[in-house]
Amino acid sequence: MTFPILVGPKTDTTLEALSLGLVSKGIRFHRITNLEQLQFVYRVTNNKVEAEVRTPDGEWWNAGGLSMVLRHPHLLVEYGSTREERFLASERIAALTSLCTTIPNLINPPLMSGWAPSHLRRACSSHSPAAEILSGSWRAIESASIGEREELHVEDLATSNRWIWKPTSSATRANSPGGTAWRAYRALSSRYNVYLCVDDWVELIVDELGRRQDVELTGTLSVELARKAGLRFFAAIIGESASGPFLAQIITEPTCNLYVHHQKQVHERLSAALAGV
Amino acid sequence: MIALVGLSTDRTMAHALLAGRLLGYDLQFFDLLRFYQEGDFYWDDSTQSGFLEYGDVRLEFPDSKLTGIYARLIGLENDVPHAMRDRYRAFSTAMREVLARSSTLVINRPVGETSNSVKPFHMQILAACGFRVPETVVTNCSEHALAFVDSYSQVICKGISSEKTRALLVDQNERSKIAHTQSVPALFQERIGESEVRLHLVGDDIHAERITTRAVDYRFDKAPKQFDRETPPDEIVQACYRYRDLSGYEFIGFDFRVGHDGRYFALEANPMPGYDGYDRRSGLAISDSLFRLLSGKSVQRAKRSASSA
Repeated sequence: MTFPILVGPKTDTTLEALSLGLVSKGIRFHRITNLEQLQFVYRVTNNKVEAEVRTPDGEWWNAGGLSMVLRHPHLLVEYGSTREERFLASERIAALTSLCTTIPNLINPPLMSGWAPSHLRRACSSHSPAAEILSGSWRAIESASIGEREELHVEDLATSNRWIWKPTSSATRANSPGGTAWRAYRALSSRYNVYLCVDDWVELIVDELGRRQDVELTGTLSVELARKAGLRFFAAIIGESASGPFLAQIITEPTCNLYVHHQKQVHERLSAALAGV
Repeated sequence: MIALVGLSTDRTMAHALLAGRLLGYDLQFFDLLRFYQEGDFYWDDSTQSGFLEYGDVRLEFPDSKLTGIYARLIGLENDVPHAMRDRYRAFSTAMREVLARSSTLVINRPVGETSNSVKPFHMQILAACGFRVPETVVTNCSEHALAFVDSYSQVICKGISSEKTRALLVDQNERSKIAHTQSVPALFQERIGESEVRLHLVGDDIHAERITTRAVDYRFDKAPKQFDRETPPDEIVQACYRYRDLSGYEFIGFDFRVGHDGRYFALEANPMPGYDGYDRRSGLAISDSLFRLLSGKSVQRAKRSASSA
């Protein structure tokens, strides 16, 4: 039995649903919506690390006996406009990240050794042939060699906003959603398969490409790589390119509206992962 | 040719340019600020080719004449007007991604181990590589902080993240501030000995210097300092190599405190070391190692790649 801590913004619907589920089961837990609420101590003694966290009733728990769901940690701090505010925000995130490294039951880790979504995508791309284009000029994207049946899936590098551009359409820089620099990949269609995972539970929640063997193989490989990177609750989105299916995105903080038809199963699985019931 | 990517206002970059020229290398400076302000870039995975450019300065990938890139990618997006922030952020991402994907040698390639931005986690990684690390507490609870401070004769307090901070000795004045501070996390560390060692690892080359001073943070303090060349123990050198292999970085600045008993305690491994002062005192020995590596003249990297294959 571990003591669950749910860390994330008040507006997070997954944590809200999870809280209600834990209350209905009579399980004590700590809900953190502001990092000032999280009192902790992290010690290095003789090269060994241990940490403790204070629960709302003043009890100190060893981090080894805690479980945590961590969502959108950067929304829990105010970056503000001054150097001092940004410094404080960075310090709080760094402290939280350090604490997380001592909690064995953590969904999802904010920082594994060198882990980042872009690294994960690159690792997966060695198993799936999605060729990306990076460009600081929309004209270069427009003139990229695109097959007749292909379309470009485009992401604004600053905001991560995404949209689809088809060479046959009249879209131009002027009527694109904006931005100054882009990442794009060639895809055959806007259809995707989406795999949702909580630990060893995997569910195909969007099936637009069908249960083709090559798509399922790419899905399986992508899920395995994400798990190896330490992720326990995530969605893997598989697209299709002229040379085969590929991992288009890993969503590390799936929202309730993504898995609206599977909420009960997901929250039960998360509850079980956190509290063992 | 070797390209140097960074800011003209960065003291270490200015030193590297001068040192590289004095050592007789063909250099191309690529100004990060002008790239962010007026530049362009392109990369296509399918052909593994692309470019980074501004004005009439252009780095092509691949380019058989370009043997290596020394990159000091200093973030600027927080220091520009809000309207410019998106462009700077996007171009910073692009720069990192293109350098990460190019087959050209980049020191340091921006895909390595990133724990340096979280000091306590970073210490765990260093300990795993075989370094001894100082006794430390990170907390936002004043009782725990004070209990730690009272357990050692001297304790310093410093930042947890990668933001540059000055280490402070916790005296009575600081102690009373801790007693009245709640919720802001801080890192407290036992202060060890009276000397520091800065060790630069460039490929396989080791350059170490001992700094003996009473200053709490010798980088900022004007107290007298004595600089001496240092030969670190073999166990430390081996741990440095282990960290290099884990991180993938070729150029690292390690900071140590050295106890009165001669034991080394690792404080940090910096993947973007400000090495200029140490280099001047060493007669440009660090730059010599760096530019030999970047020019392909050093055989160490090739040997290591072959043995790890």
